[in-house]
Amino acid sequence: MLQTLPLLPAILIVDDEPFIALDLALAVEDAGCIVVGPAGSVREALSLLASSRVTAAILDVNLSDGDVTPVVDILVARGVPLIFQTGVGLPASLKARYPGLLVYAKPVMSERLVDMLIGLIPQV
Amino acid sequence: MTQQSRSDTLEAARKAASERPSEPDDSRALPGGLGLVVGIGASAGGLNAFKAFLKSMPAESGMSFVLVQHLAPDHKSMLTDLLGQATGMRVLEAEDGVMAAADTVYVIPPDATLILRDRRLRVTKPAPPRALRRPIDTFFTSLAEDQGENAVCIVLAGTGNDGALGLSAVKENGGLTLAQAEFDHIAMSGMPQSATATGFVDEVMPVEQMPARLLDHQRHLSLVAPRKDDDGTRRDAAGHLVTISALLRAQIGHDFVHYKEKTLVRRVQRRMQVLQIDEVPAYIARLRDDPGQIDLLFRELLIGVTQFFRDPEAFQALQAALAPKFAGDQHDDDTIRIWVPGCATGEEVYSLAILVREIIAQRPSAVRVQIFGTDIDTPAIAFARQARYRKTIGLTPERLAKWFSPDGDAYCPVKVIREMCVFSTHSVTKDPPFSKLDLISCRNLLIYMNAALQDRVMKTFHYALKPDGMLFLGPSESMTRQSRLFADSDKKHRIFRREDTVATLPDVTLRAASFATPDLPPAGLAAGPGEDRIDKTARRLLEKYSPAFVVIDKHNDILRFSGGEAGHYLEPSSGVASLNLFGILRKALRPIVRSTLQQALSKKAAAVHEAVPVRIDGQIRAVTVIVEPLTEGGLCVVAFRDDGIRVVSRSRKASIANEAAATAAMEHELLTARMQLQATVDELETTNEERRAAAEEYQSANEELQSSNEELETSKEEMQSINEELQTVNAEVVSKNEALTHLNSDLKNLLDSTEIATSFLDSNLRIKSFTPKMTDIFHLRDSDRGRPITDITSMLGYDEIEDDARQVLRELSVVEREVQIKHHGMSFLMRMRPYRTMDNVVDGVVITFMDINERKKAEETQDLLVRELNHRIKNLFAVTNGVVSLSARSAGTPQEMARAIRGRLEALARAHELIIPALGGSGEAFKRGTTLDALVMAIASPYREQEGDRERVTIDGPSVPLGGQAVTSLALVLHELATNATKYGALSSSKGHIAISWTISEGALALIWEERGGPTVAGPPLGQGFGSLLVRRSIEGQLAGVLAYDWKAEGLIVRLSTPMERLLQ
Repeated sequence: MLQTLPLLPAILIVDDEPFIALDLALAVEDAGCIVVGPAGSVREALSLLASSRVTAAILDVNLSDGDVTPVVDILVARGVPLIFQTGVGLPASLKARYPGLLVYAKPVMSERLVDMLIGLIPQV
Repeated sequence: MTQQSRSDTLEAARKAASERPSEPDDSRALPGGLGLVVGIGASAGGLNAFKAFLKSMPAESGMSFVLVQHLAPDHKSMLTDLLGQATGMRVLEAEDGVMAAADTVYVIPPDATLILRDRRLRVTKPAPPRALRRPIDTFFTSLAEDQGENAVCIVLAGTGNDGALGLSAVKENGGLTLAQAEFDHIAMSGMPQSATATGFVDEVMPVEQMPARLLDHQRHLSLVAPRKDDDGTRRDAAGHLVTISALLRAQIGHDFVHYKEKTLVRRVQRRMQVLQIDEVPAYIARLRDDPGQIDLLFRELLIGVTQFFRDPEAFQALQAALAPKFAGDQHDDDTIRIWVPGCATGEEVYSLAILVREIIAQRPSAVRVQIFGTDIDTPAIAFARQARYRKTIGLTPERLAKWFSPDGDAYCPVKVIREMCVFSTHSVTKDPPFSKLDLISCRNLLIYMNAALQDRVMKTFHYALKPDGMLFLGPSESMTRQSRLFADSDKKHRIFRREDTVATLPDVTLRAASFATPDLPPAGLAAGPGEDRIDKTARRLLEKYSPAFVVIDKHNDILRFSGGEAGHYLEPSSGVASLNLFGILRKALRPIVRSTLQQALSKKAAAVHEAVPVRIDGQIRAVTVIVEPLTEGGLCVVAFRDDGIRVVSRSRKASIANEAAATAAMEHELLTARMQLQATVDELETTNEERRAAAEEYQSANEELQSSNEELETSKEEMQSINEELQTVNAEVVSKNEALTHLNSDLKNLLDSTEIATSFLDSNLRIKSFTPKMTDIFHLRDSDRGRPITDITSMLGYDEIEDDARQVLRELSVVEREVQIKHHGMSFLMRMRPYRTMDNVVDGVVITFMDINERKKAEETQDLLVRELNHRIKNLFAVTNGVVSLSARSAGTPQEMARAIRGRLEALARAHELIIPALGGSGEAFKRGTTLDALVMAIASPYREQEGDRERVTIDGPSVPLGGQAVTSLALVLHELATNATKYGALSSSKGHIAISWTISEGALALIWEERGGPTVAGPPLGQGFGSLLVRRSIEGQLAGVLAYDWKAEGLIVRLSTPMERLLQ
């Protein structure tokens, strides 16, 4: 039964604020997706990326151990759709490197953010 | 022998005083009348002196006191009240017309001029403008004129020199003058010193001793009053004048024997007053003991008062009489020579100079004019040379303006006047006179002399003047006895013209004899001054029959020759010419004359030695030598009477032929001798001529030297005064320099402390100077001064510096730019301003470099801070958003939801408080954390306080540092646990208790939440609540920890552990 079940989208949540992370996680679950994380740091996010399947990602920019660029590099390389939710906007270098990224300024309703992200996932 | 005397005016004043109708209580004579009038002058600092004086002054002295002080015109003086406390006398403010009463002190009112007239106070208001205000001088002068000997003036402490002039007037009129001493009879600086400098102060003494001195003075005056004549001179002094003048002659070398008796007496009398000596012999004894007193008496005799153009009408007449001398027939190189003997302080000399200048102004002439002013009073001559006149009485305002220039409070003659006048110390009776003069002005000098001296002086003048020279005398002098020498030119104004008679210079070394024999008969039959033609003829005839004689003094020097025959007995020896009798007497006579002289001197009677053989003109003649001492001064008359050819006793007859041959030979020899003699005589005459010419040359050379000397003296004085001025200027410069040094060091410190690199450029944009900071930044060295600024701009990324500097110079604007130093990347704010000198002239550019690195850094930090804050606020909204959204998932009712949201926000707020960022600090401050115990305490505090008797929540564990992120998560966890405990657990019952404890082991935190005493726990609640979910997610997600619930019946136990590294996030 398990095999027949279509794979649910696994969404990586990277945010160091527990309430926001939890709220996003619940919103992702509500939308019928699997939550990966939430990760509060770049290191954690990288280790999750290494061990888990990730279909899409919601990222905060500034984390406790630096900005999120290394995570973005991997996600973009893998072609994983991603969406930013940030209070400060993207670092100039990141913006320069990946001009097309979607950035939402905090606060954003979690449900909208999740809907938006799901819309980005290519249908199998 | 001060020649311009005040005595005539004194006499006039006395006469006027005696003619004045006397008031019942006004008897100026002491005793029995009113006492002395004492004028006291003081200025700043005088109050204490006034008080000290009045305290020591007995209240019933009979004197009147008038205090004159410099008062501010618009300020009501309290002097009267203040002084009233110091004395028992009445102290009144002076009022106009009030008679100066005894034992009363009058004080000058403010803004007024006070004078004394007929012993009444005269007050005029307002006072003259400040520059002309000399109230003390004004009062003293009126006091002197009004009270004469009865006046006393005292100069007390004060600044300036007011009082000095008035004091001189008091002294001249016979009053007493005192000045305040600083200590030991040294005059106090300021007014007392100026007064003392006049030389007219009788005594310098401490103010406390003055009252006693005044009382003595008053007593002395009343004692000697009965001995005075109507005109105020003492009758008993005249008899002693011989002694006094002998003393004067012995010490000073000037003879006052020929002075008018009254004048002398009056001056002696005044000295006695000053010294408080009542009897003349006592005074003489004092003079003998104390040579200083003789000097003082001499100075007293020299006191003179002069003024410009004294007797203006006479001067006008003189001007008219002089004018023709400047007529066109004069040669250009001619010099008009004028002599003013007895010029005192020079007023008359300058008056004459002005007179002459005025003549020249009317009829231009290139004639040089030289005016010699002479006096025997050296200080007076010094004053005349200095020519600073404070008193300009007699000068019309036009003359004052035209011929004088003001200098401080004095007036100096302008250069053209000053250059005409030559001053020197010279005695008209002792020293050889000037010669070839056109005018002698000798006014009020002869009145001091007796007839004999006057005659001598007249002869001197006659000799000194050119044939048509003029003599100008004072109004009370006349030309009675010497009318042969001078003819009236203007009788009324005493202008005389020299008569062209033979000019004979009288023997200048006349020695005076005595008063007892004032008309010492001229020795022998020499011409006396009063001789007429008959006398002369008779005398010449008599000489033939009377014996030849000489008069010798005790040193055997010949004083008089009888003339003619006397030559027979003289035979000058070779060698130095001498008038010694035994040097020039025929050798044959010498022993006999010597022995006869000794005989006569020892007997003090005539001695005669007869029939002395002397060979005269080849004949042996018998001569009788008669020696008789004169009564006076060891003089002797030595007379030679020719008793005819001596009978040759040799009777042996030689051969006539022999004798004839001898005679022929002798005659031949005689002829030869005669011819030689003739040649010698001719030669002598030539030599004499030459000598005369040489003598004249010497005389004129001497005069020239005298005038050059005078000029040198003047230039020396000028140099001295210039030197003084320079010294003053120098002192000012030094003090200014000091001030500048201070200022400079202030500026240097200012520049150093501001640490703003500053450099000053001149208008060619070269570096003039710079501050040390400049050295730090640009490595400028002192040797860089003078280099163009463009040399250092290479270090700046700024090439337009020159253009900017020129723009600043051109537009006087300020240029500001941010510049960077290339090699160390420092930023500076460069500001360029025009350099303005003190007189507001632009002379270069000032460039300052302000280090703005700090500022830039601060700006960046602030920027960061703002962004972080922005982030946090946005984050906070996001968190709130999350809390609301999460709470909405579990709440049944809106109330429940609100409560949940509020509780969670509150917990977050508490946690946030603990990690509140220190805004404005460095970036690190954002990562500020707290400790676990602090967090537990903060979250648990609302529950701990519910019951006062015991702790409902106990906390136990080591201090564990927490990072910002961990704090939020843990706060949330603890909050949810506490909320559940309140709802269902230990805190829902009043007996419940929670123990929170933690330990650290193996790099992990282990925390135990243990509830006790609550309702019995049935087991895990059905379904997982939202709170529990939140807790689990936080611990397992954020903190990567482990969470375990143990639902024991006694109470819930929660165990959680998390790695330490997570806690520090």
